Amino acid sequence: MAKTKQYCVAENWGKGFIEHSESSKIKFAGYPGNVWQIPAHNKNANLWINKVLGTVKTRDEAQAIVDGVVTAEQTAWDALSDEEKTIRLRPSDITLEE
Amino acid sequence: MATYKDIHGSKIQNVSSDPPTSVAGDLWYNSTSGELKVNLGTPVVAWSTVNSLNQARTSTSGAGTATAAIVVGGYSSTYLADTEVWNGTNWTEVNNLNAARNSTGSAGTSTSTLTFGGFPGGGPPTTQAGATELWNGTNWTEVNDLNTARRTLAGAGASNTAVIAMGGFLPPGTNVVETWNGTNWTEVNDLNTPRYAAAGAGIQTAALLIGGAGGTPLTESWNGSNWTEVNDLNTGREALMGSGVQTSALAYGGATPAGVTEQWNGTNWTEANDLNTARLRAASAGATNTSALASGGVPAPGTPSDVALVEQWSVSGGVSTIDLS
Repeated sequence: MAKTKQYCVAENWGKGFIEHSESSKIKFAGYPGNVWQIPAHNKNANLWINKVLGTVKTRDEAQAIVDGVVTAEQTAWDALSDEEKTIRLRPSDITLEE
Repeated sequence: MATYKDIHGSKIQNVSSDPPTSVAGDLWYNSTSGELKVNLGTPVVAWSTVNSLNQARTSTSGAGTATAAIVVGGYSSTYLADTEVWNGTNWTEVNNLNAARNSTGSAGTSTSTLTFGGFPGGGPPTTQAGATELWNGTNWTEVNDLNTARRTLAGAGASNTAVIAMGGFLPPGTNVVETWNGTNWTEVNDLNTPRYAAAGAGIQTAALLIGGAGGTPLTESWNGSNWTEVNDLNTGREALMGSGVQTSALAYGGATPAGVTEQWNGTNWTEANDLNTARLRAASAGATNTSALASGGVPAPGTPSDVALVEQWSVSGGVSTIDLS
């Protein structure tokens, strides 16, 4: 089955990173580690990756980046005091779509 | 130089009022308002990225509009007193809250804000704050406390002298509602359904309380005296953000799913384009269901990294005025 999503890594610099005209045409989903999920086989998505100088990643490569960030955050959460643990949930694993 | 008529074969229509119907590409001059107008096509509302906060944070609160907003306190490894003001382009750090805390309610504008309640830290996890602080555009001043100290409450109001504080967590979730007259808090009629982690919109005399803990889709409307249940969200969620007024509101983010955006037209909720970075516990600001700002937050329940990311909800297309200056 043809993939419906693709991934890239790009740092969100703020204004102009995702513009109104882009967001209204394609669906973006941001993940930890500056990983972005956008539609595959989509001209507008490909143009956006070029614009932001994104580095295209396979799903497994993107998953490894996200896992690295999540694991580090889980380790940091485990070291928090009991009071601080009541403020925020322990970071849970994230599974990216194929 | 070629004229408009040379290019298009007709002159620009000169009309005394905007035509009741027009199609994409239509151009006319409104002689009453003295404006040149164009139909840019079907209006589309979407989120776009704008400049980030200086301080990443979650469990924060905000007030104002999409072009003039304030973000107050929150949490990022520690309780924050940090305040930032948005001028439509950039965030500027301004004077801190007197008492650092998170999960507060806020209402008003970027120059006239009230922040109340929250989780002050430094005590057992059940400690709640009743503290209220008033922002005059330059400094925070401590004023009279809420009658019922609580956190994760929602606020609505047009300025720091007319605010409503809705629900919250005692524990448990409460249906207590209080109004602020610039000096004191007064308890008014309760919500129909106790809850916390809901979103607020509107002003002191015409407010909405949206969603809340447990992922409820409930929406209640306040007419200045009583609460009435109105139509539910399409997707119930908690820790969501809300902004706008009672007849034109926006509900965005929350858990779960954390990217959903819904527009309220005074009667019904309609699903619209998702946030680009799904999140909850962000600060909200905005005047209508086509104009809002989502600032900071955490990407999803249990996910890492408080973020500094800010997204702006705006409309493109429709009838627009051409700037002739």
